[in-house]
Amino acid sequence: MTREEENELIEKVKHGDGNAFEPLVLENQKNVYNLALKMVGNEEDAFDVSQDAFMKAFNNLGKFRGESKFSVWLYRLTTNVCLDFLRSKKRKPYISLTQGDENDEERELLIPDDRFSPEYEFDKHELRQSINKGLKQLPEDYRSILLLREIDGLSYDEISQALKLETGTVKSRLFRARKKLCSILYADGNIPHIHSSKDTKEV
Amino acid sequence: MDNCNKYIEMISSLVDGELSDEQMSELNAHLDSCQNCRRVYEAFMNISNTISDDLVEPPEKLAQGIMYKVHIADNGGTSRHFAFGRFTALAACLALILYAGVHFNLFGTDDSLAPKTDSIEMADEKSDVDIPYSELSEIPEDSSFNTSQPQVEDPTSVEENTDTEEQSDEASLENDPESVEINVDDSIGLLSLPEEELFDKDDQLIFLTEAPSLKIYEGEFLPLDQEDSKKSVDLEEVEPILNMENSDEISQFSALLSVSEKEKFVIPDGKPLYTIWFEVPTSSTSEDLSEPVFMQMLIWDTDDGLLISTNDSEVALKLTVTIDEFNAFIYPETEPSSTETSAPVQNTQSSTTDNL
Repeated sequence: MTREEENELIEKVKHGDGNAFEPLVLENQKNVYNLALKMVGNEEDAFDVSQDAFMKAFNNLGKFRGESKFSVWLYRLTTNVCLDFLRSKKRKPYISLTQGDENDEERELLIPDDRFSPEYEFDKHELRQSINKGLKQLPEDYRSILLLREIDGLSYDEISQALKLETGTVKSRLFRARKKLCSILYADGNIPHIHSSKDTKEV
Repeated sequence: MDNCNKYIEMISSLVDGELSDEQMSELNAHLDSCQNCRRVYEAFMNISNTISDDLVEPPEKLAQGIMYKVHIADNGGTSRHFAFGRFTALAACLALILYAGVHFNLFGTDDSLAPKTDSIEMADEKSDVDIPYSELSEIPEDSSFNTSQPQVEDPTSVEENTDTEEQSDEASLENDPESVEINVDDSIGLLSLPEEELFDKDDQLIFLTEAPSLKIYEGEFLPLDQEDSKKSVDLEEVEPILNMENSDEISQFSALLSVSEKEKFVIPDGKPLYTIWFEVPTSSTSEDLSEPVFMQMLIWDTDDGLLISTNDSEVALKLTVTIDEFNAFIYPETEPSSTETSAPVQNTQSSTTDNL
């Protein structure tokens, strides 16, 4: 859908034609749903959160000025709905990024040589499971930015629009998100290594 | 290899395709000679590929549920027509949505916009009526549906009474655990139905104006059991006071059924004044077309005026029209008398009553 088509539909909705919202839903629902799914971790909640996000978009179309793509705005809403949801559901306090995390230059990426060598075979399914598990442990702000990048395919510019961050911050935060995820995976004994044809596996 | 820290950060950007050509060649040169960094690259690529490959299709109900709510929101505001949610198993569930110029703040909270999914699943299993989702877009292009659009403060919310903790006590239908209330800005929504059927995937809104036929019976005339609502046999034995099959007439009549009071009333004792039977548009069901489905509403004559309710609701709302105006519509040739109709009418099995 082009920006033009998007804006046309949005105008229609603003003028009372609710049906015009449907193509916008259909176009974006996969990305919204998958973003929500990986953010909140289960289908039921993802469903609710996705509906919330779309309805928030519908109800607030008046505030959408078309400066960014509709999808980017929508992902922003979705991210916020997800974060609010997670905060309300958690028993422990929201793990926001601390100063320490952001400025943590000292922390090196833990990549022991032997674990990352090509000898270790990895099952794709296993890998997916480990990464999904790891994502759930990732602090929410890292999780959301990584998902916006990987699931919704947003560019750094778009992410900076969606999250109201400087592009430089987007870049470094993404890097730190990946670094953090790697260390979680490493701590769990799961290394996101590529699939190799060799048989040896580390126990 | 202190450079590696710098390169590792660049690797992240490389995976995202956000390096300049210059940076890219510099990095590639380094990767050729640095195994650690190559492994970092592999690790980041794996993460990226795994996450982006693992996308699923959203459930069908997602879009349907959203558009359902959009349509509800769309027809709030100045619409004064009836809309009826169409839910499965005919009979047991009657859905009645009344719109008026008055804001019925039946739901205090607006956080929980979504139905609980277990209800959706239940509805799915029970569903034996297939209404094509595309029917949802068949909303009459009526000037009265022209509403102001989404610059509303309160989001539309549809909420089920039983499970949520966020329910607003003041306005919830505490008497009726099966009610679901719709809070639409500047309108009232009253949806009364078994909660598991609320979000049947085939839901759509049917407007009374689209009913192919509408009959008014004197007194109380309800199907004996669920199955009867399908049968036209019973209906043939009792004559309606008014039988409308003309869409203009039906439109006019539905315009009569507007509600303007905020108050909810308890269902009066005794029998209703009239029972309205209307046929659910058959084009919206994929059921056997030879068996039309009917829904009923009851009109009550009370000291507070005319009330309207669904068959199994415990709450009635007040109609704006007076009994005289209503009767004038039904009996256009006679002079309406306000003294004649206040006595409740017995459930009649006899032939046409004669009020002329």
